[in-house]
Amino acid sequence: MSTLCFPKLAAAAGLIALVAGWQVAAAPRGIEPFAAGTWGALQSSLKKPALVVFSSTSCGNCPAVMEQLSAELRRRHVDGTLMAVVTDMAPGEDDAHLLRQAHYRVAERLFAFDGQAPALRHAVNPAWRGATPYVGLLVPGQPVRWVTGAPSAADLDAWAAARR
Amino acid sequence: MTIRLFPARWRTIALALLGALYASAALAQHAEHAPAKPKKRAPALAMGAAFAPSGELWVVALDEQQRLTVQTSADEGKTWAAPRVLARGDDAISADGENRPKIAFGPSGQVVISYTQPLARPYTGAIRMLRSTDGGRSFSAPFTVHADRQVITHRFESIAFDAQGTLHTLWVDKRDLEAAASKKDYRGAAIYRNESRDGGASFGPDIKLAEHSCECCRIALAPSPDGRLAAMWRHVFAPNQRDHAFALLGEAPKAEPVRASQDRWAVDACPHHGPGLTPAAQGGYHAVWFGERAGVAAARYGRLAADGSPQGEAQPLPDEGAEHADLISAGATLAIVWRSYDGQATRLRAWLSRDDGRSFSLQELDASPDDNDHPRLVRRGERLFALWRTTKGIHVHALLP
Repeated sequence: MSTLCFPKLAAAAGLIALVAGWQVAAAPRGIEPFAAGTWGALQSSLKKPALVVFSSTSCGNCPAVMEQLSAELRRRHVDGTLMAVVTDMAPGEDDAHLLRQAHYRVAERLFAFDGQAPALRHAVNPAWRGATPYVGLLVPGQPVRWVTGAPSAADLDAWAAARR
Repeated sequence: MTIRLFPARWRTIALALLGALYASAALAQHAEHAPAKPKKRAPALAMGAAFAPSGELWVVALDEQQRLTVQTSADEGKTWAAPRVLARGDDAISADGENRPKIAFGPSGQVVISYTQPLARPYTGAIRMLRSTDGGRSFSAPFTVHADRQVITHRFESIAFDAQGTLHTLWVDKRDLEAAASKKDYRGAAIYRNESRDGGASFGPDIKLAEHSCECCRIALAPSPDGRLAAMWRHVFAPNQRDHAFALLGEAPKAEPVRASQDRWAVDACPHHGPGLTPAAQGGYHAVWFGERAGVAAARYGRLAADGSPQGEAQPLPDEGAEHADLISAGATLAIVWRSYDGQATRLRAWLSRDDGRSFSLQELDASPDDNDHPRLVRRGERLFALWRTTKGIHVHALLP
């Protein structure tokens, strides 16, 4: 019996290992500082569409939005980048804690505010008054579309259409 | 005819090894890039303030070393005594934004200090308190205020003594969310409260005030004309409208709390922006809150009837960038204070009224390029003050009269 089961078990183990490897590879490798010039640099260096989720540690809606956007990227086969920016913890404050959060592990890059929150929010969008999740839908060379909360299917359709 | 170079078993083993190799390589790469340049955190500036019965102004806050301290001023904030560090055991303390240490003075020399202690799991916390029976000369070790001891959300507390000397503590609580059959279908969190009739020596049971509150905004408390307390908080009205609710503490709970604002801001997000509430001289209350109405985000001022329902149209504060507004009154004098970032500095502004909110004058109070706290308002008799902490210190502004 063990002889018969071995190939299946080995295949399953291989599959699990592959998935685990893919997830670890996709997860952010560290916390990048989000300072005064970061937003401008991100936009000017953008080569492909991106979704940027501004999050916070007490934001109950943020994990679901991260998971939703990650799933949408996969479902739509979009070659885009999912990023998260934590607005109420500084880089180095408790990086391990942030990196352990499942909803941040679906992001390709993870940032944390590095400086005065009102000034950084103003640099991102003067109209943003701090609500999270605050989602920027970015397409190279186009104005950013902003959504407070979960982007609707229509928001994502428009973003996906704009990238073409 | 198919020629098999390798038996199926070996192909499977190869696949497993490949997967394991990939996983270990990814893990190794991950570990290699794991960050870790420890960096000093920006100071936790959020503080609480109150005048003692003696007329001394007290503030409670974390210092640069994250120690819990109290400081007093005998001249309304012109000069300060040296900070005094209070023992807080191993407690971490939330002290930024909507979360801050708070202080309240009760009858017979009772003083209480409260704060939210974040716990190890995300979104969890406990409401902790220190208690003094000698006017603040000494304080107890911290203790937990609520009966529920699950490692879940108990956060964003507010405290106040009513006119009978009963200490009320309210907080945002997720026990009902945790117990819900479908967590994703449960709107927001809940507001729970308890009462202490001996100045914090003992507490009554946890009482549910309302289900479906916002998860991340402070709760406003104000005295009612009959000596009780009124509460206002951001609520999640069905299906997802983050307007504000009102309740008089001690009244029988209602199936749906009184809706105090009518912005109808439908959003699945945390505004991190709680309301303010204070009595009006002609009855009812003055309120201030942040919300989005018909696509326009603003901090707004409105009048509420004695039962908390809106009276007339709310009006936006005269500053498009206004955030974290609060308000306080004494008779017909009313002060609304907020901060506003203009791209260079944060400005502290006030809207002042001497006729119970019928007319206002705009006043520039302060400006700072430094990191800063939300404005905190305190009253001494008929006099109103705004306190604003920046990384340079505490600024005290006499507002009215």
